[in-house]
Amino acid sequence: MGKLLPWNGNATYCSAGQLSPLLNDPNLRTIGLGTRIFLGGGIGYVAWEGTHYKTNVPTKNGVPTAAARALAVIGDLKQMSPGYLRALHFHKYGTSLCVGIGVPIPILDEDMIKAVSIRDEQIFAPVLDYAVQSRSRRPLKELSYAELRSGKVEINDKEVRTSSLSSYRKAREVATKLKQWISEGRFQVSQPVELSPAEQVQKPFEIRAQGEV
Amino acid sequence: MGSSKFILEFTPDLVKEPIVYRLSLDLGLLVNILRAEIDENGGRMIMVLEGDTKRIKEGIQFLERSNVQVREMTEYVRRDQARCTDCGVCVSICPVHAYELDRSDYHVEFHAEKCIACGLCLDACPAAAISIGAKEDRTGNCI
Repeated sequence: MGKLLPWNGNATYCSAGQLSPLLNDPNLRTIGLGTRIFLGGGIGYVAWEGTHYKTNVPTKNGVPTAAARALAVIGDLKQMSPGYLRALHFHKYGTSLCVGIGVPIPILDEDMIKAVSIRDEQIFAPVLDYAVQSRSRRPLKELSYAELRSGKVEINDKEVRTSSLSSYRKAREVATKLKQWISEGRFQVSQPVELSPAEQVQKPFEIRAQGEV
Repeated sequence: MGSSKFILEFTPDLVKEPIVYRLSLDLGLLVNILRAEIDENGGRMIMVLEGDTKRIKEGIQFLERSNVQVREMTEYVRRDQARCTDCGVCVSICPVHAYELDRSDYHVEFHAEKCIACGLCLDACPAAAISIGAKEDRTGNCI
């Protein structure tokens, strides 16, 4: 979650919102096992559903308002470039990897066009206070990605500045590059061999604060 | 009228002197202390001096005469553009809005003149693109 300042000093959010493939095809109708994707600057494939893949999450405007589906991907590292694959280190959290992923979404029917026309104003995320040491911490409120991306939001009657953890500039770059590849014929849009489960439940492991045990 | 940022190094024998008082009262400069870490062993202060350009010059001369090591601070943090992905983590961390997300193309703009050398952004950057300016690093003074 990046560096957080005390007393709601700042807020961070993740995902490219309206540009995220998982929010443009929220039910994964066109993305599944074998789907060819842009991966870290090269061509890769969807290998499986990702860890914490779950479908039992609340939705708003057809898109989940919490962590939902995820993808496990595979690709040839030699095709990738530092522009889209970067080592990260979150202070007091650990190492991570920044991977640029672009997924082509074919427009199969009207439902598909409706899904991909999703905008930041229609995508919502819960606001969580990580000062509360419990996994069952209640969301303070729900905010749209448009509000989050505006740079400042209101939490507990206080104006709080926001930071994105994922680069929106890079997300646009990935989308533009993938579009270019497809129009040049360098990238073939593929049909998934198998679709990911339509229903999968994750049972959370309750982590409680020391005093609660 | 002008304003510039300076780093002042105090040696132990200087901690008894009312240096800042002289700058503001004797020379009429507007002094804004951004950072001060000074104890009996001396220390460092970062300040903005505002006033007539000639007066600021006199202020610097006064500081040098008083044996305070002084240099203008042009660059405290340095951003490695090759490492920066413009994610924007630094934007909400900076207390003085030195980092700004330009929403025309979503790149992060750094306004060095606003920086108060607090260092909050240094460990916040996940790509390790922000570091102490090399200029200060070489002298080993500004950490």
